[in-house]
Amino acid sequence: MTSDSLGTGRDYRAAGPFPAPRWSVLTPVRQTAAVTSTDPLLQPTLQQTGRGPAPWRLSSQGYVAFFGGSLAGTAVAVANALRLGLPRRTVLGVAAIGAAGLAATAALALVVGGAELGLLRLVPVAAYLGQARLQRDRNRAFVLRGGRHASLLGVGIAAVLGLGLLEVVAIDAMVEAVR
Amino acid sequence: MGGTTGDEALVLAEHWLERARPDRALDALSRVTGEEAVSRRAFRIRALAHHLADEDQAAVDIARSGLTVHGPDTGLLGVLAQSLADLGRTAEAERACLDGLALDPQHVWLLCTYAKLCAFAGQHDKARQLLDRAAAEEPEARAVVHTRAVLAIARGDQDEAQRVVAAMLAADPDDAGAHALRGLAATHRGDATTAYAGFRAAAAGNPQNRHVVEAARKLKVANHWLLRPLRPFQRFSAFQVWITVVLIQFGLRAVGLGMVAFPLALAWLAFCAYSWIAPPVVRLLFRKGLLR
Repeated sequence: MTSDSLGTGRDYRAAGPFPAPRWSVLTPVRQTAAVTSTDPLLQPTLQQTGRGPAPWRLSSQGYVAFFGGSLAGTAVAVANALRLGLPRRTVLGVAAIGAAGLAATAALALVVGGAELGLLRLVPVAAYLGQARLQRDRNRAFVLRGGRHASLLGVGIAAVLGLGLLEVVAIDAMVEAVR
Repeated sequence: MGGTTGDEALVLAEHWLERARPDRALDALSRVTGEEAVSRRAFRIRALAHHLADEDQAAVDIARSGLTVHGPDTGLLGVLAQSLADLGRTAEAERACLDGLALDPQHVWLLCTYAKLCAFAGQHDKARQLLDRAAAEEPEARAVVHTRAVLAIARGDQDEAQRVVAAMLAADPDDAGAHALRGLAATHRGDATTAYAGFRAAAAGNPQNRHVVEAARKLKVANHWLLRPLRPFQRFSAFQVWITVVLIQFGLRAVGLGMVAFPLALAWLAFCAYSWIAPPVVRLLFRKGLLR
């Protein structure tokens, strides 16, 4: 994964202007009327691109997972996968990793005997690394086309406090119930 | 007589466009009067000059006026698509590409522009097919080679990007566009040294381009020796560095080396403080001319 901090010069416009075409003199003017092409390669596939809010930095999502746990980390990761416009299968993959992380946290909590900090932090971080991997390709394209990330600060803190607490309370209740 | 003068001015404007001097092209164009000033050719030159001068909204407006006056035109649609793409208006840019490609399905510039748009949306297969079609038409065209490198960077295929850029530089070591692509590929690898070298050479060869000059200036700061200790944050994400430190702390405590872990934690905190304070200070010193 490359850096988020080396934020400069990652926009494709920094690769100079696209080589200028020579049509200004050379290409004969075509006067054909515009027709809709039947060529399968020339069908529109980008009409839904670039709408909606900007995605968040991948590394920022790691902090939410570390401090807030699998539930908070996954909520943010799924929301971001949607913001990046990832295909439905990949979004489901992000959610599935989160569900697996949550199950692993619950199982570990039963073994350790409570949602204590420390060892259990490793599970959401591992889940985050998997979720970030699924988003990496589209995130790189977003940066390359000159996109600016949105700030995760407010949403991230809300997720850590709200969903993080919910997860701890739910897992503690589950451990108590099993005892 | 007036017509000849106008024609000469248009030829001069095209000459400046080919030398990446849109300011002088517009200057030459301002001397064209009468019918020729609103000819298809004048619209093409004016729109492209504004696009190359990084005035994409003006380029969009001019290209659209030209299309209204003269009807469908692959040249004007090409500039329109590229300018809309640079403005981040992807859906409109795609529409312009498809309108142009409906007129000429083998138009190299339009195929390359559309390929980049698709790659930026993660549609790598379609992007590759569009580029292949352009390459079949004109394999050595600059737009094709440039797009090949950008597509490789978008896919995260660093080896292919480096190979394409190396071939460009071998063909012409002074190619400013190739140097900028070298810098662009390096920033996506997190390699600040190569990135600065690439953008510095590109800015020297193409001082007109705001994006290139800005990237070179910022990377110069990032490469200063005072900021060298922050390299790990460039090569890896901040979160990866943090999690490594946390794991080391856990590990040391787990094996009963709490005595070592504590000073290490203090040193890490000091390093973090440095990473927050040093970059703005170094930037300020650069601005004041105290560092160079």
